[in-house]
Amino acid sequence: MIEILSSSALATVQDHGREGYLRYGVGTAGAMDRLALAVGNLLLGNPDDAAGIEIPMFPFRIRFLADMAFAITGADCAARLGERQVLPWWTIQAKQGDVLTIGVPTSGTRCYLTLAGGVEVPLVLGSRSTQLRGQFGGYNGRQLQKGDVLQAIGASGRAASYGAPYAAGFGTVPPEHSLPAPQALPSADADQTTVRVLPAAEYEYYRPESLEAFWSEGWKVTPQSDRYGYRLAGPTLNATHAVEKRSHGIVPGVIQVPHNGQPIIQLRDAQPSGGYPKIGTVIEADLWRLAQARIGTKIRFVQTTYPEAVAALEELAGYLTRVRNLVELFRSSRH
Amino acid sequence: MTLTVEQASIAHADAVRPLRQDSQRTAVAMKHDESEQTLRVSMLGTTAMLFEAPGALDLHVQRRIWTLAREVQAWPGVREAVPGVTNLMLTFAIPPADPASLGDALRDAWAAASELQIEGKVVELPVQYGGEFGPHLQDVVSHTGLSVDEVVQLHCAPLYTVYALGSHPGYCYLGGMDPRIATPRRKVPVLGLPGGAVSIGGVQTGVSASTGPSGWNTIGHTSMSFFDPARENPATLAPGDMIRFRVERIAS
Amino acid sequence: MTEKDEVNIGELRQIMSWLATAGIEFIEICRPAATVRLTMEREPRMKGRARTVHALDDAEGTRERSAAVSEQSVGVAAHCAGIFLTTHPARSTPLVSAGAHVNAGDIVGLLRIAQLCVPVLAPVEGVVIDVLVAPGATVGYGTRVIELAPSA
Repeated sequence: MIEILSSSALATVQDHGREGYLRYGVGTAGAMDRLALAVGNLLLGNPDDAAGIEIPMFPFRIRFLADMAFAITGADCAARLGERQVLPWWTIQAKQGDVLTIGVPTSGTRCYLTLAGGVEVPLVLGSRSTQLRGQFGGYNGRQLQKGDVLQAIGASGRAASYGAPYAAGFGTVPPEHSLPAPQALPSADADQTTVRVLPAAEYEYYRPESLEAFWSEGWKVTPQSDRYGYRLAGPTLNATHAVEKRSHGIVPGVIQVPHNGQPIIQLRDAQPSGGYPKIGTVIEADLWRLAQARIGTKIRFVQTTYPEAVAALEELAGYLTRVRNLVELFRSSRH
Repeated sequence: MTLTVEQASIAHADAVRPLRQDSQRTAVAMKHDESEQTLRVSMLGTTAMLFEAPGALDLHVQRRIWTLAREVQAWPGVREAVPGVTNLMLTFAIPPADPASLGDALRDAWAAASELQIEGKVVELPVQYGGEFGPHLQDVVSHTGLSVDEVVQLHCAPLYTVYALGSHPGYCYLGGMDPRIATPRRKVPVLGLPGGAVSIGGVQTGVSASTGPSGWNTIGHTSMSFFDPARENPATLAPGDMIRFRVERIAS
Repeated sequence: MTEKDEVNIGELRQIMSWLATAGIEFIEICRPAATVRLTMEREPRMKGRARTVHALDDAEGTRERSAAVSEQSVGVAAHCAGIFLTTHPARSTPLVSAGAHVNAGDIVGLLRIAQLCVPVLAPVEGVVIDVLVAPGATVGYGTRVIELAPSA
C-alpha cells in the first residue's frame, strides 16, 4: 500500500495497454515506455500484465504504508528511499513509513514505479491502463493526486523480502547499453533521439524537398507534447496536392501532418482514428526511445525496412527473455 | 526483401450514384470531398495494416466494409479488425511474416464481399439546439445563409446511419447529413467540449460521447449515454444502427 | 533467431570450487558467440596502497577520514563471478572513491552479470582505502575488490 504525497504530478496507472476495443473508439492507452515498465515487472517477478505508475513530472514523492518490494525503471531520477539513494533500473525492499523521493531526471523524461504483484486497480475492458478521455480504468480514470492510496497485489508465494546480502536490492543494465542503437553510427548529440520510421500511405504525396527535410531534420519536441502525441517543429512539410483522408484507424507511432505542415507523432492517448495524411510510422520497437525524448530536444527519423523493423521487435523480446531468465536464476540462487 | 507501399488502381465496380434528393431514405450518398477513393493497402509500421476501399463515400461501400471486418476478425494472426469510413484497419499482436500475401488476401476478400444488411436499431435523440448548448449555431447560419429554424430542420430530417465508431470511446461516425448545412471545421478547436455536444464538421455531423477537444461547430446538446465501460459491449451504438435527431427545444 | 544466454550462478560457484581444489587459477571457455572467463584470485592481504586505481575522481571534493581508523583493514569480496564496476552504467560518477566514508550495507561497487547489476556491499562501517580491481575487470567468487578501514 502506498500514499501519493505529491500534487499535480500527472502520474497515471498504466499497464502495457488496453487491446481489442479500437472498434468502440477506445485507444490502447498504456505505458509510453513499455520497455521500462516490462523491466520493472521482471525485476519484481510480476506477471507481464501488471500495472505500474508512470511518472512524467518531478519531483514525485510517495510514502509506503506497508513493507513492500518495488522497482524504479526508466529515466534516472536520482531516487532516494529515505536518505539512501536508489540506483536506476533497480529493485529494493521498502519498509512501512519509508518515503520514496523521485527527483528530476538528468536524461530521459519518464520513470516507472512498479510494486510487488502490480498496482491493484480493477480491470476495465481487460486492462488496468488509465483511459483519460472517458475517465475509466487505472485509478478512477484520472491522474494521481496527493492523498491517493494505492494497493499492491503483493508477491505471489515468493519471498517478498530480500535478505542479506541483497538487502540493497539489485538491478539491470539500462536497455540503451544492451540493445543496438537504431543507427549504425549513433549521433553524438545527447539532445537528439534517433528513431526508425516506415513510410506510410501518403508518403509519396510529399514534395521531394519535404521528404528530404523529413529524414534529415532534427525535429524539435515542442512543449505541446504529451501522452496524446508529440508535436514537432521544423520545416513545413508540403504535399503535392491537398490531401484529406476519410476517417481511418491509426496506432501509436503514426506521424500525421495536419494543414500547418508540422508533423505530430500520435502516441498512447491519441484518438484511435483520424483523417490527416500520414507520412510515416515510428516503429513499435523504437517507441520506448521516443517516450524518453524530452521537450526541447530533437527527434531524428531514420528510414528502415519492414524486415528490419520486425527484427528490432524480436531483439527487444530476446532482451526481455534474457533479463527474465537472469532474474529468476538470481533469485533462486540466493537461497 | 523490402515491403513497398502498394497502390493499385482499380476499375470502379460501382457506377457513380446520383445524390438522392429524398433525405428520408437511408442510402444517402455522403459527399465528403467529391472524390473517389482508390483501393489501397498500406502498413502502419509493423503494428497494423490499412485497407482503403475503392469508390465513393457511401453506404454501399460501407456495408461491404462491415462484411470484410466480420470475415477478417476471424483470421488467425489478426488481433482486431477496425472499420473506419470506407476502410478497415487490421492490428497485430505479432507482425505478419508476409504482409504482401496478407494484402492479397484482403483484396480477394473485398472482391468477394457483399453488402452486409444489418438490422440496426433506430435511436431517437432529443436535442436542445442553440443557446448555451449551441455556441456555434450562429456560425452555421452565417456560413450557410439559412435561418436557425432551417438549419435545425435540415439537421433533424435525415435518418443517419452509424458507419463506424472511433475517435473516442462510443463516438459514432454518421452518414447522411444534408450538404446544405455543411460548415467548415473551426480554425481554433474548443477544449473541454462536454459529452453530448451535437456538432457539424465539414459535411459530417456527430455527437461527442465524453468531454474533450473538438474543432467542429457545436449546435446543440443531447443527454444520451454512448458508452459504459462496465458493459460487456461497452458502446451503446454499433455500425448499422441509425440515429434520428428530434427537436426538443430551440433556444434563441 | 535469438539464443537464450543463461548464466547459472550456482554452476559457476561449483566450477569455482572445483578449480580451487585442482589448484587452477584461470580458465577460459570460448564459443562462437561468447567467451567465458573464470579467474580465481588469491591475493595476499594488502596493506597500504600497493595498487592505486585510475579514473577515480573524488567527486565530493573533500576527503572524509574516520578519526578512529582501525589498523586492520577489511576486504570487501565479490560474492559471485562477474564484471566489477565502480560506476553504475547510467551514471558518470563512481559509487565510492578512496577516502569516502561508508556505512555497513552501503553499495560500494557493482558486479555485472550479463544484463544484471548486483551490488557489492560494505560489510562494516568505514572509510574506503582503495579500489583493488580496475573497473571492467572480470572477478571471481571471493575476489577482493575494495579495501576498507573499519571505523572503531
